[in-house]
Amino acid sequence: MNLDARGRRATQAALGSVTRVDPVAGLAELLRRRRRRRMTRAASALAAVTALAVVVWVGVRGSERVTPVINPPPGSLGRITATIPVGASPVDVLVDQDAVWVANAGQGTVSRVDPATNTVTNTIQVGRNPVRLAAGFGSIWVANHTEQTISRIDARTGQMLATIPTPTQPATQLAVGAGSMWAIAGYLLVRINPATNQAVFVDADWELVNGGLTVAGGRVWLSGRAYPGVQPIVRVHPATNRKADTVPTEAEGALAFGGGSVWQAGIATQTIYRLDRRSGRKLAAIPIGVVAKHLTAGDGSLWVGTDSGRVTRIDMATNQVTGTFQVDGRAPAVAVGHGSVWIVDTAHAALLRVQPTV
Amino acid sequence: MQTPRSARRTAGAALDGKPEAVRLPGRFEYFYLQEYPKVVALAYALTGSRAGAEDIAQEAFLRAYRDWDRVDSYEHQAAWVRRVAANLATSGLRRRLVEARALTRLARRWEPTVEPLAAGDAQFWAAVRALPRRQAQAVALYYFQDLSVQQTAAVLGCAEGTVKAHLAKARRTLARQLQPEPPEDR
Repeated sequence: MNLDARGRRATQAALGSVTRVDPVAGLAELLRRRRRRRMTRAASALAAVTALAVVVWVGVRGSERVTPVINPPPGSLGRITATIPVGASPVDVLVDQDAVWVANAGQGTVSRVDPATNTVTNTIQVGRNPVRLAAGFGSIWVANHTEQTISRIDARTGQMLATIPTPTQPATQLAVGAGSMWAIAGYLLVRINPATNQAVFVDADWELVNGGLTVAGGRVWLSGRAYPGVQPIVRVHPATNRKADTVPTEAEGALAFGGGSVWQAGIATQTIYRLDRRSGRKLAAIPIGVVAKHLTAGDGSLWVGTDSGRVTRIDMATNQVTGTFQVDGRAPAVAVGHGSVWIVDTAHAALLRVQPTV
Repeated sequence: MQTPRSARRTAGAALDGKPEAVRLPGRFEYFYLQEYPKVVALAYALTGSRAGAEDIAQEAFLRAYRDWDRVDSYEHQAAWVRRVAANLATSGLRRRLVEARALTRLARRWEPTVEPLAAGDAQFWAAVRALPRRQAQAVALYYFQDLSVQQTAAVLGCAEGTVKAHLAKARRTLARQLQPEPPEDR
């Protein structure tokens, strides 16, 4: 291979190495840096009036401070009963009635795991960089980030049923409800008719950098980081595909529905918020001390996956953190079903089966 | 780069020909979301640091944001931010700062989101990093931007002849230094 061809291949490899990089998280970090820079400049300019500068600094910092949290010790969530090797860079997991499914971003595949044997029984090639899974209408839906498509797989046979493009931006969130499959693709809400696999881009008049998506209380809920700051949750009426209303929120991250409530992850505040599914009113704020990446509801609890490797369990009855679990790498997704908690373990490219502590 | 206007047309076309009023993000935000991973990749290639690549990209975009009124008026905003990233990535002081931050993160068991390269590709970029600074920048921008020599010169802010000289010297050095690829590379 000549030098030019090798250079181009090495360039493609470098571009391919960043498929897990999250520009949205990067944007939040950028905003934090900008705030820090501005604070530093302001402090320098006010050096002559040091006392005033200190007051300003403390005031600004104080508003960003995260409440220290004392959680149950790691391991209190349960014990590992199986470690199941899956594909490279697993990033999402979901449970349906027959199987556990894992999206392997580094391999462009979805693994089907049989919970009876703890083995991978099928590996299905989907698009490049699958990042999100959802189950609905007898199918597994896969958001392929780099390829900007959504794959639909027959949950029973593993056959690929359809590949649906999201032409302007890659889909990053999926949700099922109101007779449709929903996705966030960049700034657009995508609605897919499961009977025809046709996608429409729902008319939008909001500006959210996507954070979360769920369907609850007869509305589609979208959360996200605005630029700059936190943006109210937008609720879309599925009958009209129009924005129904907005809900004030302190958070900007992932959404989930469970226990009759909507749950939202606060990234800057490292807190999980419980919201009334009808009014959107805040019912509880539960500090967890880490940045939540993924929320899922099941077994009377909310389960929180993180990039720091900690999984947190919140009891929906008490709104208390009742268990934590720590993996070596990242734990970007959690699912519950078949009597177990299933945790994506990126450090070992594995799916962990955990027997929860009752 | 796809502009918000062209993206609006694309979104509209997906709706069976019926135009939809889709509000799109501010120009900087849109630019950022489109370009960020590519700039991370460039920084990774030029630093070899999975942990530090995002840090370099962040800094480059922060500078773009700070001067956005000016940068937005450029024809090639992406080229501008890549040049900044390439400068940062090849600055010795900057790299030491990035490595220090990366070590701090790793000590907290933070795992980089950038995937490691296969041996042959890693060997190529290691050889590029060993080149003199301007040569390394010229090679990286040449491949990453897929630009002509003329365009690369415009991005680097130097004469075409200078870029040609950088690239020629770099190629000679790379051809001399790069070993045949390992047979089980991929």
